[in-house]
Amino acid sequence: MLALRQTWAILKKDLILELRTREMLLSMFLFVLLTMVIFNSAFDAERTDLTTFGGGLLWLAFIFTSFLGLNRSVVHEKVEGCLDGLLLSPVDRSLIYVGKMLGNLIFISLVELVAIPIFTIFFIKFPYYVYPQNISLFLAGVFLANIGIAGVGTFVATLAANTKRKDLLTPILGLPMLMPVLGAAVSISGATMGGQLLVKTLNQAKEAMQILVFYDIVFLVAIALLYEVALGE
Amino acid sequence: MALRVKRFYALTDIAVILYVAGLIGTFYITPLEVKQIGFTQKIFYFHVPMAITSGVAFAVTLVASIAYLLTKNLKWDSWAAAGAELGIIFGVSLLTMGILWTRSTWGVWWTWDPRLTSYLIVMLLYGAYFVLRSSVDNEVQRANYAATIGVLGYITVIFTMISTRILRSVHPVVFSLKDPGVEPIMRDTFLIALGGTFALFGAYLLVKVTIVNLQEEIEKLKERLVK
Repeated sequence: MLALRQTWAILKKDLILELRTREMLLSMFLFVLLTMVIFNSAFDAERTDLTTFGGGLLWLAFIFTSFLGLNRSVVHEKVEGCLDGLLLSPVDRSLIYVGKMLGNLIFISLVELVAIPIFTIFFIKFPYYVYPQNISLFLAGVFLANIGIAGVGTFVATLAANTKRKDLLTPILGLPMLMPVLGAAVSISGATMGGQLLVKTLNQAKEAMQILVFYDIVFLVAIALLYEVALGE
Repeated sequence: MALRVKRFYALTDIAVILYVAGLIGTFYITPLEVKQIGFTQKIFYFHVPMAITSGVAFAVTLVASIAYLLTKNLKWDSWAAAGAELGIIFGVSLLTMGILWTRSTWGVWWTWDPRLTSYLIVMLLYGAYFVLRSSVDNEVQRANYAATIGVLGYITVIFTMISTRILRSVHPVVFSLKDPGVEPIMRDTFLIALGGTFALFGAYLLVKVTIVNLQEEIEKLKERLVK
């Protein structure tokens, strides 16, 4: 019970800070829109059907947007000395991790939930996830991938903030570690969104789902154990 | 120190002997593989040992990282760093060899085959491991941070290998020792080359660890001199 309350306190602090400043959400949202405009100039979306690449493009936009937010979430902890306060408080280190990670998960998911319909209107002629049997698979894929991104990203951002290179290091370390998540997320989103809704790709999406679940569990446990080291006391 | 030098020479001697024997076996003794790819199959005798060795090297990093996290003894950090560096050296040689083979057999320099893809990701990951190491000045902190990535990195390697194989169409095992047509001499040549690569790896590892330790000693002496 105490652990739950402590985690909630850390999470609430991040939520209140965000509600008052709207720093992260606004910049992440603008960034994800900008990425989509870049897709248009890169692929000439007016004349090309991007449905086949839908999953890939979606996650290309999401992963960079996520890293933008992840860096921010740890940097202001450092700048405003909040991290020292957290470290002084009698809270288990892995709970600090869970609290921060949940905050990032919420922010990333919120931005994505707004961005997905816009992305669909912009690029996908007829998304297959409008069918009820596919929408749950689609959303579950997005959510599980977000857990992986927020989980690994929070850890890597914390690690990077303690080094000389600061936030430069976050994507360099985080992206290769998240490759399995990205691959799985792309094949789930692609299958439920895309023009080639074959039985094969849907089956593949289910296998990808298993990878995501397994990845999330293994990494969350491993990182919760290692987070104390990354905080760098 | 003297003992290490002796061990180093012993290992390099073994590596040279086994490599020469392996090369002779590869080019003069083993029969041509006729079923699928012909002469280029001979890359197998050195390519696969290198793949195995780089996997072992990253495993050394994993074990040393865990040992460091448990004991906080900086000795283990130098083992972890040495393992990662050797993993990259063997991995890059492996990729270079593989690219030449791909060009001559499949006609292209690069394909996004699961094995190639996952190895490229692994190389990038351990490249980032060294970027991380170089961004921390305090040696205890450096060891701490590097150890976390040493552990998580190996988990990522396993996931990358599994997921790239499941999510993309799986390319056939080009050549396997379990094939019924494989003659014992082919297996023996492979094992000799594998032994040679392991000996080379051992010698390298010994040198690397010694160098890292000496560098740390130099740093300490420098500090004492400044004081």
